Amino acid sequence: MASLSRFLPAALFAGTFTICAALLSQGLRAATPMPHMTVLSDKLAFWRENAANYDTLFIGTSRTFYHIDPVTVAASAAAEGCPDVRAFNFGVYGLNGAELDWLVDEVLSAPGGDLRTVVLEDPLPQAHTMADTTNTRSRWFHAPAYWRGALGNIASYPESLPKRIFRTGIFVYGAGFDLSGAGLGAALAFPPAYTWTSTADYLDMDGYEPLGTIQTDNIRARRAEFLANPDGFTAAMARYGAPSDEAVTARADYLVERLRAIEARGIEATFYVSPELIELDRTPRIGAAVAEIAPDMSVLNYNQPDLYPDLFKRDQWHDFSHLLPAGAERLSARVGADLCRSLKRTDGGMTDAVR
Amino acid sequence: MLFVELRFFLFFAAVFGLVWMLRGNESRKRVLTAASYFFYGVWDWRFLGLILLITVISWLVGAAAGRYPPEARERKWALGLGIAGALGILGVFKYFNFFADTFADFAGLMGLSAGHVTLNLILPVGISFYTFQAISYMVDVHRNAIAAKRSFLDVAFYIAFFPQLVAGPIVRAADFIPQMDTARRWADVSVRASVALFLVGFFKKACISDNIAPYVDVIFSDPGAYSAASVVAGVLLYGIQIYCDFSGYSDMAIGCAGLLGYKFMANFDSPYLSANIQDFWRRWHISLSSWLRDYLYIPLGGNRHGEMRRDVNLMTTMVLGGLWHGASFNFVIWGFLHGLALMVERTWNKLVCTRVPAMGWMGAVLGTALTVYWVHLAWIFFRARTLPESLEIAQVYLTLQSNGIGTLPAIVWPLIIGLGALHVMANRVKLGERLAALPPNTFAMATGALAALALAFVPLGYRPFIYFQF
Repeated sequence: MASLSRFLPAALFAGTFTICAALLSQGLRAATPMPHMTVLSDKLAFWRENAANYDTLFIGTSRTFYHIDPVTVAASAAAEGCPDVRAFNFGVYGLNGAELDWLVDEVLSAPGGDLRTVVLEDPLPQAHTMADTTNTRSRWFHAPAYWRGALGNIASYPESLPKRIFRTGIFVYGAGFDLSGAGLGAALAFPPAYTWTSTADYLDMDGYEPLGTIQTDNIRARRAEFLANPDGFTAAMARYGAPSDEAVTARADYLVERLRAIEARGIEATFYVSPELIELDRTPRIGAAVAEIAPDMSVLNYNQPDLYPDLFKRDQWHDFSHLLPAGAERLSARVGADLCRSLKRTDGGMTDAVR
Repeated sequence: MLFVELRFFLFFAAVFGLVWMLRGNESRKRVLTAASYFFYGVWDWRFLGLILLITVISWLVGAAAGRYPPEARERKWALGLGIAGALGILGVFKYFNFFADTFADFAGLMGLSAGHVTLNLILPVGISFYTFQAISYMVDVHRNAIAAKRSFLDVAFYIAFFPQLVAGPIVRAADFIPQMDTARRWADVSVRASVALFLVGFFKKACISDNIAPYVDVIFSDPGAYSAASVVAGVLLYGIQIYCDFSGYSDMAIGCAGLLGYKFMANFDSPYLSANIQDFWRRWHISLSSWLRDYLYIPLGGNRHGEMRRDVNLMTTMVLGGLWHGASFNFVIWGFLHGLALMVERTWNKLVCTRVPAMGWMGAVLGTALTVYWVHLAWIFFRARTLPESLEIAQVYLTLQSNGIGTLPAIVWPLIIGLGALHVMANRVKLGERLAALPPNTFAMATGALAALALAFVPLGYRPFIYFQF
């Protein structure tokens, strides 16, 4: 007993530290306005001002941001007989499940909206590096209010058990980091030395950014890796249709739940699967599973080289996940046409989507 | 590996546990020396060769001192060669490019052609600090202030001991080596005082210095774009930043050493409350100013050969002290401004203070205000990257005129006033000492709560200690 009491001060220190840090973090979080998040904040502010100008909204990851050109979508839809499509691209790179849930709520509650269709892309699973877990945006979405969404995202994503455990570990690290309160007081008490003015040129293009317009280290590195690895393209294509033991039903359920929630607001919900080389063994199957579970729902499943060979030529790809602008234009034209067909069928009482 | 990083806490926890598990003094010293080399090698393992070379030189000089009688020529030669060797290494790594460029520019002014020869060398972290410690050992042994250590491990441990290795305090051989000779006892360790000091230092560095650094950076990167009030605020904030950065590091170093059983001298004593520049140098970077006094100013003759010689010695000491901080004319000017102020003060004291009655508290306040004003004028040269940039900021600081319209956030002035008040309060109410006086369990809970508070005010992002570059 006496030897245990030697450790009492250390235990008291750790206990007090943990409780105070958690309480402080929650108090400071409540007092902290949402920080500026590149692309996400700019697009949301724009949307709140201009929601009335659009009737079609694409929400997704960088494969929406860099792949869907609303002007081309509208032109293609018009050529197909839908002259009034006014689309906005709400693609945000790295968008994960917790962020998507929050974002859908935000955009659908924007005033003055005349929204007819929301095209939703499957969000990314939770971040997989520690650095990606502690940046401003990721930290914000690791607060307790987002835990359920984040864990549901991890649990449903079709990955092996070790990968899920790893992602859960990273999530716990991120949640712990947020709960520690590290830096929250500093951000609140010390305003930035200067106000950052973002150059959001994509807002002039209805939210679309042709990939490569703005070069970042990450974009350059992805491009260099793609160019240096021509065999990787062939190997990725070979994964299409390859047998996989990853169960996609849970993911399809997860997505349908979100699509149905949009429909419950009186808005047409469409599921969009982008071409993506490194996901050729996974996302086509997710798209098929969604179509099977919700046969009444539109599914635009483009990650299928046998159906869309024109989208899978190597010279149209920027890297293993993204198309070059020329490829994006080709995809957008197809999306516009397919969307119009889907709308016509819906209007006519048929919801036989492109599958 | 910075004192405010998680990996340092893990490193220190491992070293702390291991050291206090061991019983023998020798084994503890071995562990601490190995840990210190690991700590230093984490920055760049190539630097380890330099610190080892300086350690070998110091050990050889000590060995020579132990072998020859005090007045022997060999002993003096060994000391001279040892100091020359240590300063030579420092000179090559820190000053070669500066002097080579200066020589080439001077030759150009004289109409001679001299090509610029530069070495592509990385400045080893903390080299100025451990070089001065090595010189302290060589000189103290030569003066018989301490006995030469026969054990190479002892010399290596003294020079490399990680709490003070990269940014001081500069620990005197005569102060530290006697502590090495006996095993430290846990019962003698002031745990609460050391933890409290570390926490105070952490708060200064991480919660104050790092948070105001961005304001200082924008002002010094484009002073012409900002209003006079913002430029002055930027200069004052830099004074706060460098004080909190360096004294915070020193507090953490002293706290770490204390937890391992070793005592370091205090390095700061509320310097911005100094009544004059001489007083400032008794309170700012005390380990350096006293080192310069004992190993440079006094050997140069100090004030023993008349006023003119005293002034020359003062100016030489301060200019070399400036140059110690970095190879740049800006540091020379910084040292010159302090040397000039010391000379003026001594003349003023002789001509005026001996004939005019003291002004009491008003005089003290006026003296402090003037000292703070002058010290911050000198800081401009210390912080700015180039001489023209320094002059641009100094002009605004002196004239309060600027064409710039940019402003810092409104919080900076309340911040400056608040931190100034905290500086005064901290001088009267020693927060660390009060905290350490709490009963153990209360202390544990109080530090737990304060650590959580401090963590909330740590800005996210990497920002090394300013003094690592010196």
